[in-house]
Amino acid sequence: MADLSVSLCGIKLANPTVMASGILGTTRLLLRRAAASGAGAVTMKSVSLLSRGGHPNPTILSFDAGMINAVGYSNPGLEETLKEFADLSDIPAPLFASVVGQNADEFSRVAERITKLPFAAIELPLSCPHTPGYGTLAGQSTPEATFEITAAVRKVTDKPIFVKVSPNVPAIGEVASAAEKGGASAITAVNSMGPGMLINIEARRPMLAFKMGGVTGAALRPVAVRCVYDIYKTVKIPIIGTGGVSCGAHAIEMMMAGATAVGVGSAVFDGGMGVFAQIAREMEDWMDRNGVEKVEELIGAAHR
Amino acid sequence: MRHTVEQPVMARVMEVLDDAPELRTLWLERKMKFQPGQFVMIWIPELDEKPYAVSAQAPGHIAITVRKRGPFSTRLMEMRPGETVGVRGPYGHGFVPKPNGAIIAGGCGLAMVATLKEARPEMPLFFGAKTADEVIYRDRFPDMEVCTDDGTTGYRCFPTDRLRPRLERGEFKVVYTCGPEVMMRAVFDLCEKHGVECQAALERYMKCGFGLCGQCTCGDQLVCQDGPVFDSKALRRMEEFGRSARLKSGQKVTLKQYADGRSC
Ligand SMILES: Cc1cc2nc3c(=O)[nH]c(=O)nc-3n(C[C@H](O)[C@H](O)[C@H](O)COP(=O)(O)O)c2cc1C
Repeated sequence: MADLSVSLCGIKLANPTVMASGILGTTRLLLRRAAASGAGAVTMKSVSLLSRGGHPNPTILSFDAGMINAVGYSNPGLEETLKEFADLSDIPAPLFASVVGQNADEFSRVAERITKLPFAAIELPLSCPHTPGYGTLAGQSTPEATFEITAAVRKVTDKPIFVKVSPNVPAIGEVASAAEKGGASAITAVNSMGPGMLINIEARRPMLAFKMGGVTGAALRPVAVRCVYDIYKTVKIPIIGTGGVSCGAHAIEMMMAGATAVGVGSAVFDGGMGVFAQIAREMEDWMDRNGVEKVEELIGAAHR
Repeated sequence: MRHTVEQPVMARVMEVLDDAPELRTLWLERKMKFQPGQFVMIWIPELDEKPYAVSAQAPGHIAITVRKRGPFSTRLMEMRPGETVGVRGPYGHGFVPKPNGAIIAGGCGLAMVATLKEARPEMPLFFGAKTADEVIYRDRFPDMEVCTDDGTTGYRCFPTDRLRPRLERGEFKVVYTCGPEVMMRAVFDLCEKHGVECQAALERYMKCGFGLCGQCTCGDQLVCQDGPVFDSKALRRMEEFGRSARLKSGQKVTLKQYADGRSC
């Protein structure tokens, strides 16, 4: 039987799948349900200092090659989040927090409190393409800003920091290097790309209320694989390869590009919460057929 | 791999009917297969998108019944025949019809159970409204037992008061309900007391409608996908049912605060 377990910054995952931030991660009970249905690890919906209602609807739609969303970081804010996730002891997989801010100071103020919760790591998305004041719209995905924010958060937590990067940059390796220098423990690659737009031709109007939104799912996958491949060449820290993974073959491809773990988001749309277990099963089948005993042997295989 | 395109498709408003001073039914040109209890997302470009029950159906057409609450519902109620709205869905799991059922609804919750009553006309329907002005679908369901809080028409009591003695006599095996959540909680508790199955259609602030974003959660269930109709087994496990709901931000608040904060 193939061994699907991976060690990510010392955190043991039963299989390499990680439920990506913003997918079902709004409450403790949903994280528990996703973990119980087979995810190797689960990530909470990103939290900001103050509560945010997010953009009006429509916020999430699908198209023939993926999803588009402009949720706009809706979340109940730091204080409510501290209550919601105070006790995570009955969740059968490692959990990752996700923290966003408008500047380095806000990131560290939120991270300083969130680090006290029983999450195994803290993810910092510096890469949302559709929320004014945050991510790429606030210039957080440059190497300079990435270094500054990562270093600021490094000062307030001893936990592993995952820096989540945008695919929309000319040299993603430089951004990942800046994160590594700032003290990141891993890189999550990637966040949604774009923003993109879908227009309803009868209404002659963009369909998302924010007009544009991040593109995820199938359309993102080849871009994400290339990003992971580039990052693997430039940094030593592990990578959580994320973007368009919906089956075992995609997850294996992501690992061959250099990922230690594999983020899964949009695939929940088609596959439901069972998609994590399904991906793990398909990986196992492939490994058995190809005589691979440990999934960790596949990490970076495309580079050798 | 199955991959459905979930986008609003424009539908023409064919007819607008006044049900009550603050309630209107909009007939839309749209062919749709759905189960009673499922819902659609209605989009007004550049404004917002909200979930509505399919409240009636005719060949090639569906209807929604809109209650005036905030800017979105106000605009929807002002729609004239010939204008268009976006429609996507239907979504979720509806009611599972079984023999010996009864239906109990409050306020605009009647819209959610109306197609169930049409599919199962033999089921008695208990309906509660604040006052005579808010009683809808009287012509559609002449056998409906009407209750009002102020006694301006029908019985002056809650519809649960009409249901209770008949549950005690063991007349029903299953009760279907939609309305204010405190009412549904009371119906559920009553059913539990008498060992009768309950199916309740819940409402929560919704975003995607198809089980991805985790916004509309109640307990560990997704109202959009696992619901909106939940049976007794699921309701029993939902500590939030009848107590709390989440605002657009995800903040957990009492049902009263949730109702006050809702601006649709
Ligand atoms: C509806 C939705 C909401 C998202 N919200 C967040 C978020 O709050 N924080 C974040 O870091 N990424 C967020 N993302 C991005 C995902 O975590 C992930 O990076 C992206 O969807 C690519 O993976 P996928 O193709 O498997 O979906 C969101 C994605 C979607 C589809």
